Amino acid sequence: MLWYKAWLDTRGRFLIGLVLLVLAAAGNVAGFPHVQRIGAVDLDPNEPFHQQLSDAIELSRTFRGFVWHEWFRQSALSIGALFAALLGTSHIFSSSRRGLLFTLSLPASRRHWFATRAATGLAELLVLMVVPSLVIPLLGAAMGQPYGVGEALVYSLCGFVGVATFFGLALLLSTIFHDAWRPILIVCLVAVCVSFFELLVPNSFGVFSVLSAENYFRGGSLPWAGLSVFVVVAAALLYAAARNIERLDF
Amino acid sequence: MTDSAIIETVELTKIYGDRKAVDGLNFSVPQGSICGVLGRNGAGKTTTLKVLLGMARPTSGTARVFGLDAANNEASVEIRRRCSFVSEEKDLYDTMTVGEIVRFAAGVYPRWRTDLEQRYQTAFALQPLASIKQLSRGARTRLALLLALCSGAELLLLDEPTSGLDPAANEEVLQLLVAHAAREGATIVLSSHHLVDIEQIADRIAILDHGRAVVQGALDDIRERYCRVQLVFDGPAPEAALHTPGIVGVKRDGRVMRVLSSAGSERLVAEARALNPIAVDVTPVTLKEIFLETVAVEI
Repeated sequence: MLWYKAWLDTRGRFLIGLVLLVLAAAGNVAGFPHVQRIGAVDLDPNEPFHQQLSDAIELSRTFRGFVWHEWFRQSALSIGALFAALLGTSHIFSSSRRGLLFTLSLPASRRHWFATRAATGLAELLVLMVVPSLVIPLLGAAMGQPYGVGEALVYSLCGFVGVATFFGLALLLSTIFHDAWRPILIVCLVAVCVSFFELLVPNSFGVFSVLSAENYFRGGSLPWAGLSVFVVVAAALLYAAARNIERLDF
Repeated sequence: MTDSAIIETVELTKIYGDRKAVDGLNFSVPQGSICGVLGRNGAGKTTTLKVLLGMARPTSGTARVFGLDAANNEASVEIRRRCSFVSEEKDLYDTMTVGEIVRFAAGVYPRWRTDLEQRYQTAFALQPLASIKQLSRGARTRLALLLALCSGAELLLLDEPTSGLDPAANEEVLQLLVAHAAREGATIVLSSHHLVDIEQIADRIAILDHGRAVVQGALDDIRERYCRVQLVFDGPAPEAALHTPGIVGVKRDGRVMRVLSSAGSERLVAEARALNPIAVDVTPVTLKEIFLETVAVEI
C-alpha cells in the first residue's frame, strides 16, 4: 500500500514528464531532415565556442551523431534533471504535504516510507529516461533512418544514472528546506552551473561525457569508472536524506 | 511502569527551538480507561501525543506506550501498529476518495476490522466514491474517526475528535466512542477544549498547563476531592494565609472569601473556623471551575 501512496503522490509530475519527454524526443527526430538541409557553415576559428559549434555541425551530418548530440547529450539530460528535481522534492514527509500526520501515525517506519518513495521515484525516472529514448528507433525506422534499440538503451541508462544523482540531491534538500521551491531551484542551479562549466572548460570533469556515454558513441566502451562515481554519489545523497528524515521532528 | 498503565511518561520534556512544549510531564493512563486531556492552546497536549506516536523525539525524560519506548524507531512502529491517531486538523490524503483511503488503511493496519468498517461507513453516511478534498469538515472528522476505529487499535489517541461536528453529530460520536471502548476494550485518550464532552465520557482526566500535568486522576476522585469553601465574615475577609494542604486558590471579595481545595473540605473548614467566619458553605465544583482555577488564564 505504501507503493500505491508513493505512486499517487508522484504520478502527476511523472506523467507530465513522460509526455513532455516523448514529445521532445519525437520533435528531435523530426528535426533531423531540416538540419540536414542546412548547408555548410563558415565558422571563424576565433569565435568563442568554435570547437563546440564545429563538433555539433560535424555530428549532425549523420542521424546517429545528430541524435546522440541533440538528444542524449543535451535535451534528455536537461529535461531529465528538471523532472528529477520535481520528483525528488515531493517526498512523503514534506511539512507542506496534506495528510502528513496521518502518514506519520501509520504503522510503517520512516525508513520504510522513504525507501518506498525513493524506489518509486527512481523507477519513474528510469521510465522517463528509457521510454522517450525508445521513440527514436521507432520514429527513425519510419523515417528511413535506422537506429539501434540497444544503443538507445545504453545512452538512456547512462543518462538515468546522472539524473538519479540529481534526484538524490533534490530528496536530500527537501529534508532540509520546508518548502518545495528552494530544493528545485538549487538542483536546477547546480545542473546549469555544471553545464556552463563543461561548456567553458570542455571535458574538465567529463560529467556530460560520462552521462551521455561519449566513449561508447565514439569507441564502443562504457564509462564504468565515471558511472560508478555517480552511483556512489547518488547512493550517498539518498542515504543522507534517509538519515535526515529519521531525525526530523514533527 | 505501573502494571496497568498503557501510557506512562516520566519527566518528559520536549523543546522546539527555544520553546518548551512539554516540561517534565509525568502522566499515566490505565488500560481500558477513557482519559480526557485538557489544557489551553499550547499547553503541550498535541506535542505529548506526537511524542507518544514517535512523530517527535523527547528532549529528555521517557515516554512508554504498551511498555515500549516511544523514542525507539522499531518500538515506535509496534506502538503505531497497536494504536491509531486522529489529528486535530483531520488531515487525510486529499488525492484519494473515501473508498480508496479506507482500502489503503485496511492494507496498512494488520488488524483491520472489516465488520466495523461496514457498520461505521453506514452510520457515518460516508460515500465511498466521494473525494476527500470535497468533504465537509464534519464528514472529514467522521472519516478520520472511522479509520481510527476500524484499525483494530487497542489505544485510540484522539486530538479534538469532535471538532467540526454539529451538536447532534457530536453527541452521536461521543456515544459511539463510549460504546466502542466498552465493546472492544480499547483505551481512549482524547484531548479536547470541550469540557462538557470530557465530563460526559471520560473516567479520567489530566489537565496540562505549560507542558506539565497540574491535575490528573480518576474523574470521580477529583470531583470528590475538589470542593469550594465559602466563608462569610462580618467585616472584610481577613488576609491571613491558610495552611491546609491542597488549597488551589483563594479569592477575597469584600466580606466573602472563596477557597478551592483539592483535598476535601474537612481540614480546611477546621482551619477556617479559627478565622471566625459568620457562615461556612461547602459546595461541589464543576470540571470547568477546576480547569479555570488550575490553569493560569491570561486575558
